[in-house]
Amino acid sequence: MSGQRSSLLLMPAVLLLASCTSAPSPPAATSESINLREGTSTAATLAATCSGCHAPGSNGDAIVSLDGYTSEQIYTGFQRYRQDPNGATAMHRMARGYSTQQVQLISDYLGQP
Amino acid sequence: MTQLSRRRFTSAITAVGLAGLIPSQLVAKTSSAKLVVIGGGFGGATAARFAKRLLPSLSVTLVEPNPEYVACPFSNLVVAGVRDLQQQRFTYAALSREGITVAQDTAVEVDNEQRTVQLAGGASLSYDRLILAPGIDFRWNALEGYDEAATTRMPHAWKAGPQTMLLRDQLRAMDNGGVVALSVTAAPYRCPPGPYERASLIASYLSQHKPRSKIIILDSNERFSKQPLFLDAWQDKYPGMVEWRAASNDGRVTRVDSSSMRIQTDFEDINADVINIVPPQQAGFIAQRAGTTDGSGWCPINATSFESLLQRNIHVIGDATIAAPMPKSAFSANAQGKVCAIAIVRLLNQLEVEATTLANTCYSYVTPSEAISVAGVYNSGAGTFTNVPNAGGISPAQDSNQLRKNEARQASDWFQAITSETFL
Repeated sequence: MSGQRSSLLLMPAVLLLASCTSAPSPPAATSESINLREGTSTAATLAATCSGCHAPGSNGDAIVSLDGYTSEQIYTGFQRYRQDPNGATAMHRMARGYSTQQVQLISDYLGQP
Repeated sequence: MTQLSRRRFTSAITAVGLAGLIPSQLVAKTSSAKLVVIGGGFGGATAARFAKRLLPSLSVTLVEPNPEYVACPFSNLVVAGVRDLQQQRFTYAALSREGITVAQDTAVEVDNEQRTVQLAGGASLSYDRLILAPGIDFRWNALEGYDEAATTRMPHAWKAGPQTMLLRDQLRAMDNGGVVALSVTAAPYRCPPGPYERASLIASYLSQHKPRSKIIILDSNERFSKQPLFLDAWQDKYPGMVEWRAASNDGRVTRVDSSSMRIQTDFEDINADVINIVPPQQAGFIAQRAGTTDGSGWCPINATSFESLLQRNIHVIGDATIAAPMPKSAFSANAQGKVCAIAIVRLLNQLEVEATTLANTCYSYVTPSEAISVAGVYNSGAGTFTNVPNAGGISPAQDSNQLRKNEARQASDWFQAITSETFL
């Protein structure tokens, strides 16, 4: 996500938080709490391994960057790796170690809506 | 550097709902929290970056004596003369730009009672949580005769840099028909498939430039990573050139003499023209000073939080840890760095640390344009790592050149991705 997009996303978030907490927090703490909750979630922790090969901004052709993919696309691709009995790549061998529920969490976390 | 994740708009809104439940004083309390990370390799640099991004108000100091990092993965290609060492070098400039304090200094002492780290330059750093990512140190003289002085004639090249170049230059200077000996210490050691990748790439160099030469691997182990694939590759691509001796086949080197360029096994004296020693290893020095190593010389950890089993508030990641079945690899260290950063940020906010699933993959070149791989998936529950069944394993055995070529291209993309995430 670009910095610009990030700040656009946080704007409505700040407004929403201001309306639903009794004690108003400073904006810095607000964005930090969001980052903290989301960035340390079950899904984020599971997805942490992925960027060892699929780092944001990486531009390989043998290992694709996941930039710009939707959650559904990542989910479909991941499941294809998981379920292909003849798959030979390292990704096939790793994908088999994840449950459908984990694949869903990872895809939702990494993908665009 | 791009963001931690490409966060979804919708999940950001959902997260706000949750965030509203975090008492504001909780966040305020952690604002002054201090994290010190010792060691700027794939584990430490990654952990520092992720912790800082997750909790921007966290004070993060990375202690690393070297102004730049020289990456070990792919350095066997440098040994074989097909890659420039320059491509292995990375600075910490990006980390500094992100607000991480990079202290170019050596950590010499840890006082976990006072929660301070003493630096060689005289400064003292205080911490709430400490991450040790010191990598490996060599156990000089654990192999008789192999001390620091011996490395100038018998390079280890197991930390990349001048040693890598020395080994490359010795191979270049060797006559056609020369003998290269490669001694492999008993596991555990950094990069389990590394010695065999090195043998493959040295053989590739020799077969092109000095085809009458030989390489003999003297192994203190009975088996090794990706063994059937390496053995096939040697037979197929370098017939008669690579000899591997298991420990039980008199492969164990017991003594070296660098002045006469001789090595001894249990039953034989061997003279070689180039002698490369993968020496006995242990966790980096500071891990011992911090009291985080056990009798094995490595660091026992809780696999869920990476917290030391011997010292509270100190976390250890990467090669220094006892994390089997996760191997001592760059990929493991990088993944552990991210999961450890998440764990620490949660702990600083009084949130429980959750068990998760991590993976590892290691590519090894068998020629400069062909590679094989091993992968594993691990659960971190109950404080230890366990293999996820029916996952992982090595590349298929069938000798398909296209498969090996594809894996070489994947390896190259992997290197780009992991170094970019860690350093760029």
